[in-house]
Order: sequence, then structure tokens, then C-alpha cells
Amino acid sequence: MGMSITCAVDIDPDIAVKETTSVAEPWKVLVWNDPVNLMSYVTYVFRTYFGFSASVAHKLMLQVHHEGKAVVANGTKEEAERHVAAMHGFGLWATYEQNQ
Amino acid sequence: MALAFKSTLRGYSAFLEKPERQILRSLFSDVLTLLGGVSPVDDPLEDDKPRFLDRFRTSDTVKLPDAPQPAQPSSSTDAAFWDLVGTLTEDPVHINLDDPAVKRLLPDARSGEGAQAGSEQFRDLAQDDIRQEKIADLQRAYALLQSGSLMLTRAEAESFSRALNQVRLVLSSRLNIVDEHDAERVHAIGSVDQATDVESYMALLYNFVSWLQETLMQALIGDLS
Repeated sequence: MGMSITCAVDIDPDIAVKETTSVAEPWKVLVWNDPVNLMSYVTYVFRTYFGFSASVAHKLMLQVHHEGKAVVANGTKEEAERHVAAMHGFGLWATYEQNQ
Repeated sequence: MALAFKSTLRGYSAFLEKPERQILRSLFSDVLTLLGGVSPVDDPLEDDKPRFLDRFRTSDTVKLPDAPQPAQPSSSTDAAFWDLVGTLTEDPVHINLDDPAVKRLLPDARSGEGAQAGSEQFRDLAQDDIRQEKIADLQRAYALLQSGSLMLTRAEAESFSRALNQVRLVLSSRLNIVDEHDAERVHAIGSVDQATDVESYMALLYNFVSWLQETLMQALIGDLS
């Protein structure tokens, strides 16, 4: 992953909390493509965990597959953390980051 | 020869020969070790077919092992207490994140700005819970392979699919499956006579586990409304 170059910025936790509460959905959850997770498995996880319809789950799965990644959720930092923890529990390669 | 998973009125059924179950169990054990977990007590596998006498065996004829003797007072009570406390205190489990297979099971959680520090924070916060869930899935899957005829509830089937997925992630890391071309290279190894070395044998295992997981996913998806 070519993301390790970004340096860690010291953020005052109080300020970070104020920022996140001022915007409704400041964080997004991404699922990244990999050649291992079965398309059927990814689709099943999207349907059962997020409650997406068959067509939405299928569309997102294809987006991950063809474009390399897809945003599967937006929300607060706590929500993003919870979703990513769940995705990692399923073995999906998921990350969360701040919406610009 | 294994029989694919299918959805039945009684649950998700499949059939696995004894050698296939032995291989799957050893794969589950390998992943458990990577995650700092232990395999469940290793009961000998049942034979593939029910033995003739089993048909006449009823629960009240099964002899249960004797109940454990009550612990000796005082000194061993202390020992029991410290055993209990020992499990409650923070026991640092060594997880080797330098191993790409372990990193694949427990990947970095943050992307974008501040990814490195954020990922480390996430590990402090959530990694142990995720690790414990993975261990529980593997232990359940291990136990479910006791007999050749599998009949799983939906919850068991989902847990089993997650355990199979973990095995595939670890094998894919060992086989250096990074892109679709690698996946095709591994997929091309389909028969035992092609398994000439450790890597091609591992590829065969990967393809077998992939096949089993795919049939399970098709059975599970077919039952979603």
C-alpha cells in the first residue's frame, strides 16, 4: 500500500471532536479490490451486513472489482470504525478516511 | 470426493471425506496459530460412514466421563484464583504483523491523510476484538468438521464461510497472489498430477477451499429473499 509516506499530524482530540460533530458525515468507508475475496462472498457481506438490496450490493461489488475501490458507507468516525472493524472481521480489505 | 454445499430444509449440507477434513482442520489450525489462538481439543474424526453399531446407540448407553473431583481446598484455590486473574489481565499476544499473511488478516484500517497514525490507533482500539472474532470463527469451523456429513445452521454456515475466507487469505499470501494474473496462474493448477512441489500443492489446496467457499456462498445467497 503506497500510503505510508503520509506523515502523522498531531491533532488535538478536542478540536477533532468539534470538527467531526459539525459535519453530518465526515468519514467514509472504502472497500478495496483484491484478487482473493470471491465476488459472491463480497456481495453476500454487502447484502447481509449493510442491508443493501441485491442490485445495489452487486453494483458496489462490481465497482470494487473494476475501479479498484468503492465507498460503501459514510458517517461519523465511530460509525466508520465500527464498519471497518466488521469488514476486517469478514476478511474484506476496508479502510476509512475523512471526507474532503 | 467432497460434495458441494447446498441449501436444504434442515440446513446447509455438504459432505467431506476424512482426508479432506483433516486437511481443512490443519489449515484452520495454521491460521489459528498465526492469530495467537489455539485449536479446540482434537477429538478423533468420525469415520465417513456411520458404523453399523451406531444405529443402536442411544444417549443413555453412552458412558460419560467421571465428573472432575472438587479442587483441593486453600492452596489450589489460590492457584485457581490466579489462573482466573491471569486470563483477565492484559496478556500481550505476540502478533507478527511483519508476516504478510498476518497483515492480510489484520490490515491497516486507515487511508488518506494521517493513515499511518490512524491505523495504529485503530489497532490499539479494535485489533484484539477482531482477532478474537477470527479465532472464534476458526475454532467453530474446526469443531464443525467432526463428522463427514455437515449440516449447518445459517449462523454456522456464515461463520464457516469466514473461516474458509481466512484460510484463502493466508494461502493467497503464501502463493503471492497479488493481482488477477496471479489468481489465474494458481487457478490453472487443477489436478493432483500438477502438484509437483510445495507451491503447486498449496495451489491445489487454495483451489479446493475456494471451490468449497463458492458453493457455500451460492447456497447462502440463494436463500436471501
